[in-house]
Amino acid sequence: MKKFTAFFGIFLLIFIFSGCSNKNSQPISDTKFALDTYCTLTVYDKVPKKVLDDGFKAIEDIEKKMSVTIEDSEVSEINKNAGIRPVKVSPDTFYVIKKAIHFSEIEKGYFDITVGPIVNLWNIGTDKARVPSAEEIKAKLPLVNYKNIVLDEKNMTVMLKDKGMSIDLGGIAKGYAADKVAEVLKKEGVKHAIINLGGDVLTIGTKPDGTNWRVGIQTPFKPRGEYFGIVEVGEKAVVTSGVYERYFEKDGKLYHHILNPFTGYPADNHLYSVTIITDTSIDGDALAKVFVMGLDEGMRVAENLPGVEAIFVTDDKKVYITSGLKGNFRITDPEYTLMTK
Amino acid sequence: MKKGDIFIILFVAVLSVGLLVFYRISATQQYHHKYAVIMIDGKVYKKVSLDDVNHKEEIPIVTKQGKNILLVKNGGVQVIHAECPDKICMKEGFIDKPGQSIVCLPFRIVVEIRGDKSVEIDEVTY
Repeated sequence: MKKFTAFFGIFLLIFIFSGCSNKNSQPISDTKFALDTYCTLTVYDKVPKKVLDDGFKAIEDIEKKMSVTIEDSEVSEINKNAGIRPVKVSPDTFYVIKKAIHFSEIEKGYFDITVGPIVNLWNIGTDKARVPSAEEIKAKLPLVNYKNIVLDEKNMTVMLKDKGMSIDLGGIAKGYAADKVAEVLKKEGVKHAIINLGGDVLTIGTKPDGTNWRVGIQTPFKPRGEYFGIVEVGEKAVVTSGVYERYFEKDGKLYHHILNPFTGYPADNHLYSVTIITDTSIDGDALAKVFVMGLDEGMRVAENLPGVEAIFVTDDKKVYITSGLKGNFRITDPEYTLMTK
Repeated sequence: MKKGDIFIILFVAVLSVGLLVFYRISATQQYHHKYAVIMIDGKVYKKVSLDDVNHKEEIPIVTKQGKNILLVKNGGVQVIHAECPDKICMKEGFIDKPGQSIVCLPFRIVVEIRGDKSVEIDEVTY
């Protein structure tokens, strides 16, 4: 019977170990609503679940500082004190506003965080969404100008020059949050991960097997998750601005959430989406707003920035890419055509 | 051969066949099973199997802000009624492939199809 016990013991060991080895490649993942969107963190390393929670904490921290819907956020304080006094802010908020101004210059004012008063007229994505009158828009347009943000680096304060001005970091805070999450995850030993904040993708490292990540680009107006093309990247931010993400229809016309700061209306330039590939997500988020500049000018800006690649999709399903992407991008949906120009 | 040896051989044979069958079944379930996960505010609200293409069911999704109705049919799902302001979840239409999802941002609802995931991509930017 001794022999039997030994035999049985060995067998049991084999059984137990074979059961474990199968699960090695399973990533851990969690989803939360934050920053007014749907955020998913997926980690491919063996780390405790707490690491994901710390990542989400970083997102919530940014939200508390920069959301316009949170009454006592730093950004709300800046807006409440427009034309009155400078407001002291955290290094995070200061950095994001400074970056936003930097990209406003690069994008010639087509990206402008002082578009707040116009955003509030449209209310796209809320139950108060409506088409404002031309007069309303005309009245608010003079308040939109990023040059009227006064930064004081020494005292870490931000002031909006004119009463009625307001900033909206919706076009850049998400990007910054992703970078912060990456910082937190890396500090806790994560080597392979994907951060997805409402479609803004930021990768850490490569896939566990050392190959590139394959990121699908959303097919406009198709269910989320359906993609027309695939881009291969290492550790990169892949950020998309698309008209299909938030919009409403009125009298047969589609009004989306990417507003042109010069006209006060949604950008109307035959583009469906722009995807930017960069090293940091904050840059990608801010640069995705070259959308508003349209295909030709937007492409010129993307092409001239070092370390930046872009994918433009027009409403007739044509796809334009920057020269650096050739070989790393392919179309998988035959309805879309890759243009060479 | 002793009686005990025969017993051990038989025991191992039966156990290994049994285990083989067990692993096969569990593997099939893991990889060919397709289901929809409904989440509200990041928490799982309900899971529905989509394996039976003839199965038809209406699932009300009740949140603090209002009610949406999800229709399960033809091995997929679709939002057929939405009280949210923009109704983008309804416009997203019918989904039936693993990796696809319908998101209702105003009500914080996500319906995701999981199962035999496409190996072609790791993530989607939108």
